[in-house]
Formats: sequence, structure tokens, C-alpha cells
Amino acid sequence: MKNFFNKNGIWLLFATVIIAVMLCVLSAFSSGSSFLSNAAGVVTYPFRAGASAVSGWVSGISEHFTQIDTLQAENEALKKQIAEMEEDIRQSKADSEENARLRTLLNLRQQRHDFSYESATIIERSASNWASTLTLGKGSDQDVAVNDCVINAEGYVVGVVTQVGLNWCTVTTVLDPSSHLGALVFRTNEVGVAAGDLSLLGTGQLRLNYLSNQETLINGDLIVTSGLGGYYPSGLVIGSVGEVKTDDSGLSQYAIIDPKVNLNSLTEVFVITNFEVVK
Amino acid sequence: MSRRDLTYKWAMYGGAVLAVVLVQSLVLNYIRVLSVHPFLLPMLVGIIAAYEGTQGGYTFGLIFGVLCDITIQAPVPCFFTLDFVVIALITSLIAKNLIAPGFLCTLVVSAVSLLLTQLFYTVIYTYRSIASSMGVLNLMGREMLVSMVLSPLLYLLFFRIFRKTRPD
Repeated sequence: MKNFFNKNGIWLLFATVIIAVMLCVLSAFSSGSSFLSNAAGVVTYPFRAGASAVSGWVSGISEHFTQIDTLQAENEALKKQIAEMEEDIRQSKADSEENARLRTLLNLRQQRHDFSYESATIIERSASNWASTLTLGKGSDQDVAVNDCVINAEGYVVGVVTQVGLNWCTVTTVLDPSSHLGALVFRTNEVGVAAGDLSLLGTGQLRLNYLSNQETLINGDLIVTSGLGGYYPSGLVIGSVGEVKTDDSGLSQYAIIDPKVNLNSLTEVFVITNFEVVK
Repeated sequence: MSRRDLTYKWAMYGGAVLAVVLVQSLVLNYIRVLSVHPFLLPMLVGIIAAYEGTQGGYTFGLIFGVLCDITIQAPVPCFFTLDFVVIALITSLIAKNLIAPGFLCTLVVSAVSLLLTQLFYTVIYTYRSIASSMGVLNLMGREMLVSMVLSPLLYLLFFRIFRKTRPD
């Protein structure tokens, strides 16, 4: 042991430092992902996608046998919900037409969100308990870029793209401790920052920080993206307030947010590759 | 040990590591107990370094660390490389000087490997001010508990390879 270190210790240290520095430099000088990460991602993509498909298939079979009763009850509830939503759609069509007429009368500009979506399948989940990331099967070949916002089929925020390869990308979810999104309390229009928290990662919640003590948040208040700074579209639903707390200094409040998206059951998401909000 | 034996030994270890990595990404990442899933990757490095000594452990830790760094998103680009090299050096020292390779050694080096990885995370998260001490301790405890349950299975797998490929 001592001989090994005496003979090779300096070379071991040298090799480790060189490789570590090389990884850092490669990462620093690449915009989406380093060359090595990109190549590894491309090479392992078929295996990851195949493994994910097998895993989904097995989980689907097991769910088929264990959740028939639950699915039947859910089916009934969904039918009822569809009927209610159809009524809402009829009402909203009439409202939209009325809204358009009134806007024309008042000479107001139309409000609209124009999004370009890219659907993507989740091919891998983070192995570590200290982070919450997803790997998707779409990358720069499909115009996915770093900082693109990712939502689920209902339009709820999943996270933000933080690394991009040719045919894959990594999404840092809203629960990740390094995640920070400009947020807005829908009812009061108060602005805050929705951030992941390590102590809430396990429970699948996040924090809404930098709220003034003057505002009164109530449980169930809807939290949406603020869109400030222009990085992300505004009005995307992040979650709802589960609990309101005052921080240790007693000067400001923060809220615990229950995200609307259920990351554990998510299999497909949509990357917003381009957006335009006209107000 | 002849070159052929050496190749055979590391092919066996490589196959076992690949199997564990597949189990980790296909099964364990989806199983949540106490709101965490078992994390076996650092334990692999610790166990192999304890059985194979500093030279083999260091080389394995370095290669496996680089592979993890380019395939798994980490808080810093060389996170797993540095972490796994340190794990390999410390656990090989433990096996050499304190506990001979075996069941108890596997348990101890598994716990040490996981603890070192958690300390690496803690240092980075504390530096970035994105973790409270209570949150960190809570997560460390739960992750340790859930992951250590699988340590005997890793012992069964890797100690068998170690015994089968050990030069007489």
C-alpha cells in the first residue's frame, strides 16, 4: 500500500486533477452540454429509451391487474367531468365571442399566448435523492434549448431544460433545490420566487419566497409563472398554496406550494421551444 | 495474476456493476421508501475498492466517476470523479488496515461511501446556500437507512466475484 502510494501517489493525484479540470473546462466552454456528455447521451439513448419503454410496459401490466376497480371508478368520474367541461366550453365560447366584441368596441389589443411545443418522452429519472431531474428523448435536433420551459399535458409546469444534447435533454424540475422560477399569486397578483427546497424534495413540494408580510395568502391560492424577465411564458400553473409560514426573521412570509404536476406518474411532457405572449 | 485472469476478473466486476446500474435506473429510481429511493452507485465503488485494494479501486473509481459525470447531471461537472476517487482511497485503506474484506467490511465501506457522497453534496449545497442543516441531516439519515438495506445483496454479488477471481 505504502509502496503503491510512494511510487504512484503523485501521478494518481495528477491524473485525477487533470481529468476533473478537463470535465470542468469542457462543461464551461459548451452551451448545452459538453462534448463528452453529448456523445455519451447519444450513444446511450437507445438503451435508455428501450429500458424506459420496458419499465413502462411492466408497470402498465402490473397496474392493469391491480387497479381495475380504481380505473372503473375514475372512468365514471371522468365521464361526469367531461359532461361538465363540455358545458363550460360552450359557455366559454360564448364568453370569448362576447370578449372579442367588447375588445373591438373598446379598441383593445387581443391577449393571446402563442407557444411552439415539442412533445417528449421521459427516458430517465434522476438517480440521486439530492436533485430532481428528468432526461427527455428530444434535444437540439428538435430545437430544444437550454432554459426552455417544460409542461405536462394539462399545461402545468414541470421544470426547465438545463442541459441539451443532440437527441436528449435534461430537465431540472420545479422541485430541485437549484430551481428558481418567477411566480405570481393569481388572486392577489403578488410576485415571488418559486424555489425548490431540499427539505421539501421528499414530500414533492416547493417554496414560494420573497413575499411581503402585508399580503394575506390563503390555502389553495393558485401560483402561476410571472413571466418577468421574458425567460419563461407567464400564466403557466405551478401549483397551489398548501401552507403559509413566516420566516425566521419574522419580516417576510413564505408559502409551501403543492405542485399541480405529479412527477412520479409523468411519462410524457411538452417542451415550449418558442413562445410569444401578446398583452 | 496473468493478464487473462485480470481481464476475466474485471469483466466480471464490469458485468455486475452494469447489472446494478440497470437495477438502479430501471427499478430503484421508481421505488420510494421514506420519500427517498436507494442510491447504490457510491457503494459499488466502496465495495470494489475494499476488495481490490488501492490500485484497482482507484482506477475503477476514476473510470466509473468519469462515466457517471458524463451521463448523470451532477451539481458540479467533476462531482462523481472526485467523490468516487476519494471513496476508493478511503475504503481501500479501511479494508487494508481495519476490517478484512467480508460481510462486516461491506457494511462499513457501504456506509462510509454513502456518507462521503452525502458530505460532498452537503458542501456544495451549503456553499450555494440552497440547503438547511436540518434538511440535509434528515435526507442523509433517510437515504442511508433505505440504501443500506440493500448492502447485503451487494455483498452477495461482489464477494462471490472477489472469491472466485482471487489468486490462490
